[in-house]
Amino acid sequence: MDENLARHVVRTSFQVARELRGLLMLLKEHLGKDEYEAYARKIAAAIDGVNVALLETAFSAHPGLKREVDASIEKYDRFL
Amino acid sequence: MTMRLSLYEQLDRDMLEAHTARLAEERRQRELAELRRELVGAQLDLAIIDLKRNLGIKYDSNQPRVPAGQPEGGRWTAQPGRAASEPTPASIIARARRLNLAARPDRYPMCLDLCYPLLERYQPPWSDRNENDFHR
Repeated sequence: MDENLARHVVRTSFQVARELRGLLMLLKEHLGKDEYEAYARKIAAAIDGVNVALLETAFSAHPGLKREVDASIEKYDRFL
Repeated sequence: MTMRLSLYEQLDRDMLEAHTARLAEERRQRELAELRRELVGAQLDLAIIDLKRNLGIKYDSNQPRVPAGQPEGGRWTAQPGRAASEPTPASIIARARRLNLAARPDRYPMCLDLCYPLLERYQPPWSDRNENDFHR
């Protein structure tokens, strides 16, 4: 996979994780503590699954990409 | 003579096995104690977050941020006398790394419990910061 395609993998992974984080916030507002915590763990596991399956794969193929992502998030709060 | 040597050898072997078993048990107890400390720490962090939520302490746009250029630059920081005990992302990440999931995959649920509050921090909807910290 070339580096540009790997960047797209990373952006899509973050997009999925942002969606799931939005779901987490919605559930936090509307569920009781125990039910929310059970969902929170599952959502965290889902995000971790995306991270391991996609982010880690892209970073392994292009190690410089991780530094690029960190620098972009540090500056813009987002991978541009 | 041969028989007595054999008994001594057996005795040595038994003592060695007992010693090895004792060391293994001591190591297991140390790991268990470490695991309990991590769990108590994680429960304490979660209790603090719950307490803050129940007290209605939410996002405050005036809350100070760490100046740019520093390792935690741009992130929210504690306000004096208010949230000083709140776990920082760095402390959560450091604690999660100590769980050493590569060696102890059985600690994964604990890691999820420890780390999902990283996703709960207030960030603008377009921000990737929480997700990136969670990945770390």
